[in-house]
Amino acid sequence: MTATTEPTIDRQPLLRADDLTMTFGGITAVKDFSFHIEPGEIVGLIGPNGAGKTTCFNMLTGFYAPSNGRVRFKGQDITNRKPHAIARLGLVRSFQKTNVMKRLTVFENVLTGHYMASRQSLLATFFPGEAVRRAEREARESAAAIVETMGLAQRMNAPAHLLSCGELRLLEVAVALAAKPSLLMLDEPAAGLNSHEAGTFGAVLKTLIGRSIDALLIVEHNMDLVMSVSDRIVVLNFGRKLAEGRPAEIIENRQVAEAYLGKAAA
Amino acid sequence: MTLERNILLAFLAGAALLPFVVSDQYILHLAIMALFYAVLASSLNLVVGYVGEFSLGHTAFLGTGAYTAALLSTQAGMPMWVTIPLAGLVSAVFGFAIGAITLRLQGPYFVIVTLSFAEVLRIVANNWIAVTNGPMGLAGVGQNLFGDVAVTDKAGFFLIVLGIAAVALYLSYRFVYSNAGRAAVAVRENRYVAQSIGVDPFGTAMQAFVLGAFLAGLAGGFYAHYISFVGPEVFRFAFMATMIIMVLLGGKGTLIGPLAGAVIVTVLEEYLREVQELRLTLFGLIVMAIVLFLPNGLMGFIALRREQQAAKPTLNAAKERTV
Repeated sequence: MTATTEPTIDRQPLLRADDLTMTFGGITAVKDFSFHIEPGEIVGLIGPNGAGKTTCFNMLTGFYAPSNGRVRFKGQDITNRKPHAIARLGLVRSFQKTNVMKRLTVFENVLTGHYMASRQSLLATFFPGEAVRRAEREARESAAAIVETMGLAQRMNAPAHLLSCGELRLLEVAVALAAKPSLLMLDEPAAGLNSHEAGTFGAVLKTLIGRSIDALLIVEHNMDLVMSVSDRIVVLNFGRKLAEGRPAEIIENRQVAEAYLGKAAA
Repeated sequence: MTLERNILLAFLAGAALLPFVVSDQYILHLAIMALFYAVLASSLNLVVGYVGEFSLGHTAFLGTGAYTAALLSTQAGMPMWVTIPLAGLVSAVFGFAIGAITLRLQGPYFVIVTLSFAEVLRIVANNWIAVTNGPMGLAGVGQNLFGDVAVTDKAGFFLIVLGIAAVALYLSYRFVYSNAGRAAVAVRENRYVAQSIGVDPFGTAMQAFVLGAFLAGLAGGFYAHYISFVGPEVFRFAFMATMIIMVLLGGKGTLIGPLAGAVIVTVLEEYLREVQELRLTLFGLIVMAIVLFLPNGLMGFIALRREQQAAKPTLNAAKERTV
């Protein structure tokens, strides 16, 4: 983010969720969850399995309609908007279960991710002019650059279904980056990476802030990764916010330790 | 991409020479039908290969186009250069209306509902005697191209259908290799990823569906003039079965596939005329064999062989491709 020229606008968080609640039948997956993300921040969202992290993701990105609560992104109310409409505003996510286009090559996957940048009228599709050709060229160059940033250059033309688990996670992030998000949300991106790969991955994530994206929300079970990249951490437990703070504070927090490990026998 | 384009161009150029080399009316008729089916199969391929849903109701657009052209010709005496494009446009409007309902459905639901739309149109054509002349059909569809200039020989019709095929392939090519085409593939491959990169699945599917309807309408319009008669049979499932075999045999989701499928099946159908009763049985077996052994058709098979033969892709090759 650039220097504060208009303080009133800059003070507004990039994303702000108020009292998000999601019930499935009689089960309340998330209850009255509020949080925000400031521009330039990396926020980690952690919690034991089943705490409601992915449900939160789905509510923020329009894949679920929250039972209650509101989501604001860049000052606009995006509650109940369709996923693609939210993505077009610059909020792009990845998925917990690896989701890429398996039969396409790495390059094609990332190129497809440039959809929004090269959107054009139907007329221009059939009778492309210089502008369309330039957009196409730029998308191809940008796709190649993103593939290289993510360290997948060796696999550029390999079909996605031939990639290793770790490479797939990188590809997923690459596709999301291709959509040029301002807020990128990653759901367990390091699952399946070994500790060395996770370290490299964390370093890559940090370089993205301010260069490719404005802010990052990351759900992750790899604590070393979350603690090293996050500026701030939000802890969910049983669908409610348990704690929030800087990584060092969260590590010290007794409640968080109890949520993960259970109470020490007295 | 470039290879596919060059093959298509070579095919069209070669085909353009045909009427000057061949004067046998029977062979020219076969060539006309092959190109007519090539347009139909390409249009169905846009739905099957790029919406990713299996339409059994594509004859709705073929029939709508055929009836539109026949009515405009018999009632208003319009020449082909007006009726055929209008046939495409009317079919595109039908495509939009039918797509607005069916594209909300997926899988078997989509299949059944598209099939019923074609069936409903067939029943309308059969019973709305005031307009469609019912089962008697519309006979005596004019064969004039501009004003009074009539197309009198097969060579003329061949050049017209070749022109339509060129338009169909051009539009399909542009669509498939555009941002919109990539979006359609994204929806087909993974709906969730598509949405998360900003693709509207419904809108994207609609584009491919309407384009498919438009091209099928053009083919229908041509058919009406060429055969000079249109009856409710144009909505029958027989056309549908032929189109499906062509797309599956050639390879769905490619441009050359449906073209190759159309040529092969048209020739094969003539060749198998001897065994009239067994024909559909044989086709059934062929389809089963394709689904089992060549799920991506001939083009998929060729692509696989090329992939296996090609050396491991290097970084340099990847870079070259992106420039």
